[in-house]
Amino acid sequence: MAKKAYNEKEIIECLKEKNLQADAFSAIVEQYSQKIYWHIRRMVLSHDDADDLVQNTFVKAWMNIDKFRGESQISTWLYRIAINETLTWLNKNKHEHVSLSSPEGEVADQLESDAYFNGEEADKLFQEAVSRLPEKQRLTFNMRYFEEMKYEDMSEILGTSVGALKASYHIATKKIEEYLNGKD
Amino acid sequence: MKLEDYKNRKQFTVPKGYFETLNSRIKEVTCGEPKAVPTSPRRIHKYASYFSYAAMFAIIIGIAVHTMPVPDTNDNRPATARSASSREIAQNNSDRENESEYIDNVFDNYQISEYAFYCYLTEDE
Repeated sequence: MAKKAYNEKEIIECLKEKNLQADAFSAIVEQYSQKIYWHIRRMVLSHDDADDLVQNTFVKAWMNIDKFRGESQISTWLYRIAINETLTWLNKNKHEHVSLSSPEGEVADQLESDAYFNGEEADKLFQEAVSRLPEKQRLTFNMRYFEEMKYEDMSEILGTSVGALKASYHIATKKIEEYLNGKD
Repeated sequence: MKLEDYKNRKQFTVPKGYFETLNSRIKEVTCGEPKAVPTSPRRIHKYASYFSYAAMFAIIIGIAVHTMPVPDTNDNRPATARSASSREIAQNNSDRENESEYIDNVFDNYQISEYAFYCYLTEDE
């Protein structure tokens, strides 16, 4: 049997009906689970942590499904929850993660021991450079660079103006380039 | 390498078959059918041991209550008064011992016949 195409409007209507909620949410999970996973994974780097956080994100979404009024896109709502979960987790585990003040090579070491990192030395350097960005700048960079998200959508998710996001992305790319060039 | 070149490099991987099971795992903890709670066999040993401990405790408490002197619940006097009365009781006990000497004599004499006992009681008169 062919899988029914995802229709956002239809799903939002179904979410309002108690007896159809589970089916609608199931369709949302299938549509967004991978995107949300990769979004989280690029922030936390570790697969196990990303796995926990993606599940927590959908659990929170399900628990608050009645509060979703359909005023924003489902993806916007899910990304907001995922970002909140990820930032909360990063703050809780701050001492274990790289910041601007962390010694160089810490991310490279972490990735070295990660069974699910397949990159080369250059990739480790790149991840180190991205990890050194402030959290919101890193979010902006990841969403634009990897996920190729529109600035308007990013603005709605992050609650920041399009202009500020463009500036933030520009600064982030400059910092990364400088870091990588400094290591050549 | 230029910044643009990193975008399409597959740096991160996931365990084999991860995404095939991710959705079902998420649905299980959210909108899926509630899982039947497995009923574990009753652990008789554990409860039996708890019961024996409780029984032993009850026996000890019972013995303690049984052997404990029962305080006079009608005694509403203050502690100092009660303390004083305990001294009085000690004194009374001592007097009672003396009394018992007298009573012993009486009982010694009680072994004799009623008439002789009558004579004994009235001999001073």
